[in-house]
Amino acid sequence: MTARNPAEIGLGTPPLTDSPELVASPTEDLEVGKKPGFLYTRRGMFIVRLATLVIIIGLWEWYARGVSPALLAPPSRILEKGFEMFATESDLIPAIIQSVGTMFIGLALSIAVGIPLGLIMGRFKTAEAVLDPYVMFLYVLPSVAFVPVFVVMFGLDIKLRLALIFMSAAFPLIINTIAGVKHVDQELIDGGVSFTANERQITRTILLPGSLPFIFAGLRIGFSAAWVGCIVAEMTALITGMGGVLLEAAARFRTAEVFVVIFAIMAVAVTIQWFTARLEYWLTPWSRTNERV
Amino acid sequence: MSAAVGPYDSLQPTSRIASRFATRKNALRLLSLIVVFSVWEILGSSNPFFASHPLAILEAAQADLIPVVLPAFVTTIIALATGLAIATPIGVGIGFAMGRIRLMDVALTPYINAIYATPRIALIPVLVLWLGISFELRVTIVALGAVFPIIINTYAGSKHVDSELLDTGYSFTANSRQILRTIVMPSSLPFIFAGFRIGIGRGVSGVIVAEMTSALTGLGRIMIENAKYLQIAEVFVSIMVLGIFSLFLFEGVARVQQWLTPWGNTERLR
Repeated sequence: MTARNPAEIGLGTPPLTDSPELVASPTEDLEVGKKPGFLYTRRGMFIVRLATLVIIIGLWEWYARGVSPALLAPPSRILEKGFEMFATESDLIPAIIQSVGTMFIGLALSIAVGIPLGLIMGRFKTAEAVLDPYVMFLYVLPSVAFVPVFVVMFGLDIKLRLALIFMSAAFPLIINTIAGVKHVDQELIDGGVSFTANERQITRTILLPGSLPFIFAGLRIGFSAAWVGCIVAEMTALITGMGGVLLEAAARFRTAEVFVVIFAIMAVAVTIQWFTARLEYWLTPWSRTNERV
Repeated sequence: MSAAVGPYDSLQPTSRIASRFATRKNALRLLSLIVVFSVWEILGSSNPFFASHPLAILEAAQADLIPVVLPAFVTTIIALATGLAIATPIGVGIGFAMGRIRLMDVALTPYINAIYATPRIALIPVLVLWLGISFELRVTIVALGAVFPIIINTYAGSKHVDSELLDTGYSFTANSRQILRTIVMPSSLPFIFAGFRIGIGRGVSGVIVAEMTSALTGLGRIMIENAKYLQIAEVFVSIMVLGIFSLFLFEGVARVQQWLTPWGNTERLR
């Protein structure tokens, strides 16, 4: 197999942050001695972003007031409904707890299987030769395709959701871990072998730290994939959790409620992204660039 | 794993060893395929409703593949291709605009990132209200799934241009159009391809979900229908078709990328 790093398979493109270090492009820095423009200051960026938000919401509000409330709810109505759903005893909060909880269990399973399997496949060519076809097939196959089979195999149970989350999250993790192990400096491994390190020591002290940035790239993808898998399972098979609340609201044409749930799903997704980026920043200090996440 | 070939045997890179390993690798793969399928056959045939088994799948494929699965698959592919055809120019355009124009960058980045992280599946109920369970719905889902990875990767690509190349361009008084066409675009092409590949993956899973939840045709629909009547072997026929198609697409785009952008040194993307 040819070298397979996450970037090559379209996975490892660096996450985009809001940090001005990353977004300032070299051409714009060419004029030496010029004061940083308005758009490069924190205040300027904040004002522009706030203005964008106001424009988007204003247009939405203006447009939504003209159409039927069953088709599109104006932001004011969504906000009102959101307060109502979070403040009173609605199904939303239990649904969020249920969905996020299930996602974490499924993710823990994926990590427990994915990282060791990736380490083994990256380290031993025999294991890779044997397992690679299956891993690759399941990696490129959209995990949604398993919903009908899982319904029959597991019933409408939490097991179905866990299985789908596992199918979505485990394979990006495996593939990135393999890439990470292959990316580890061969000289370090040779050094370890020369000093008679055993396989466990090599794994713990060389392979694992060395491939951690790649594992995190996989984790970031796996984390979002797990969330997608969870929502998909809830929407296509089980009608519970946040996906269930969403479908139910849509079936009754309560568009404001639908948007509240969509924004809640979005909030969870954004929190997940932020959390993984932070975790990576703390756990892999040696691969920190000067950008802060 | 007693005879495991450790990575350090690459210290002696003779072609003889490499070719011997290649033969051994293929033999191992074949062996593992035989073992896996036999075990699946034995376990599956004792309990046909649970997970089916290879012979039943083969039989179902003979009966279903041409008359049922392929026509459904064609509708799926048409929706997928249309969605990608819409998403690619829009994504590349917005990505470059964000990468080159500071105001666009500052104004849009947080919102694009937030939407990118959100499962687009959640939008299906709203889109059904607007578009019905039509062809347009599926195309919209595909386009929404694909456009954000393309935007983000194009943006990243236009930011990762080697500054020495840009300096050289400016030194030789290239104008901004020439800079864009001859330096920025070629050097971000590998990134755009990476985004396109992610976009394809998201598009495929989006169209399948859309068909499963709200369509009357397509591969997703066929799978749900088969599952309803507990025809698991037939479901596996669709899964296999989808998997093989995804593999070819995945490898195919990679080949095209290598052929079109031989300068895209993937090692440097990390």
